Amino acid sequence: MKVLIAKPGLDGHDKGAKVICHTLRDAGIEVIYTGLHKSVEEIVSAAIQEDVDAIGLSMLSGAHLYYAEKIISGLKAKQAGDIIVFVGGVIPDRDMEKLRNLGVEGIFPGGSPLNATADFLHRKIGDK
Amino acid sequence: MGVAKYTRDEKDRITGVEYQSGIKVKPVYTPADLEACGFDYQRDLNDPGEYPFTRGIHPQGYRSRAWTMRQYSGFGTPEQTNERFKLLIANGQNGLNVAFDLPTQMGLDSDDQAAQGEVGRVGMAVDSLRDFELAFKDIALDKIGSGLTINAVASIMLAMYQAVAEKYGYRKEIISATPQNDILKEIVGRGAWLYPPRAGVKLIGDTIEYSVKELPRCNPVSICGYHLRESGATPAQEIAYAIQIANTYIDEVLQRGLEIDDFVGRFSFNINIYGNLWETVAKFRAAKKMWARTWLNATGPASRIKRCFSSGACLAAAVRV
Repeated sequence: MKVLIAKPGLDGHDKGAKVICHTLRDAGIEVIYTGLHKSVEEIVSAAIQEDVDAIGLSMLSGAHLYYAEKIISGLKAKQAGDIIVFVGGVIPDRDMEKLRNLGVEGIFPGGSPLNATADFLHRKIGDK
Repeated sequence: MGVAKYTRDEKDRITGVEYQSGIKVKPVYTPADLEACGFDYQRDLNDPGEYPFTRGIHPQGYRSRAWTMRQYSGFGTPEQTNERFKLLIANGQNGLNVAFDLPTQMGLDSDDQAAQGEVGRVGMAVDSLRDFELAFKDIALDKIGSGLTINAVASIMLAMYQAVAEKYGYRKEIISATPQNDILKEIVGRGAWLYPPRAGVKLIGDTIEYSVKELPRCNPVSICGYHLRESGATPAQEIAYAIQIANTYIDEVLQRGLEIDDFVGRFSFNINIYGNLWETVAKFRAAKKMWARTWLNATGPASRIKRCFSSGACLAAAVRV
């Protein structure tokens, strides 16, 4: 299994993203981290080039709806709609439903147990 | 680990306490402990308001003079932010702490492609002086001081603040602003930087030099141990890096021919409050002593370590169980 952890947009807080990278690695998953300040195009293109099974968006900036929508439609436009998109970070309760309607399959707001993300990926993707 | 770990003997008496940072303390201290470490009251603690300012810069702490209350605020348009500022002041707040959106923090206009989805979120959008005029309309800038929580473009924001104040009839000598303006911390800990380190340090030197000459009530830089701690530093590393970053800015200004006492009192600090109360108090006191011993002499102007934030981790939503 191969996962891309991405920091879309202008926010520079990536301790959470790095902690998730380490946790997934320790759970036996191959992880690629985009680094800070990535655009929709950069994230979609990295995911396709690296042939990942899933993309995790680390969002603390309040722009989660915008970026989830753009990245999911960007993947579909490149015939990569099978890549699972999940989101973690500062996600208000009122946006959970909206994110799911956009096609986000896993949401991990502050307070989620650390292993929840790896469990979700193993459940969704199996032991690929 | 929680905020402290206790070990107990078979009779349930505490035999040891280990704080979050790994520092071990005894359950009880007596005068014998002070004697054993060679404690000297004047040198190591002293009265509040006295060198090395272990107990703060005010002779009576905050008993005779309340601290400034400035809740971090700002969102959406400058008009919405202005409304919020007025509400906070009407409810007793005696200072402002301005939140800027990420495009503004990164020097982008609101119509820039890279700003899409982030305009007016996590802070207010500022594209021009006009936005600042709207945000500070009808605010008494002679009585209300403002923290400008922005770094890479803080010099521009401080210039805008002065321009707006003067436009509204306040002389530059009486306005009070503290731009965060800690670019090295952005590079090390928070990620919102635009220029490489050397250019960033020069810009901060410019802001300090300008403030010393033109803005007598402004504190041109607020050194942020806070963000270093939030991005993974231990408490000891937080203080070490914060003071070393301050030293770098000081070296830059000294090279320009200013005397240390001309500007060292303008340094403000923003230190993280996290976890165990006593460990945090000890960290603040150690930081104040270190700063005093590095840069102040017993008769010089009191610089301050004066500001503290809680931590983002503490502010996060409660754990769902």
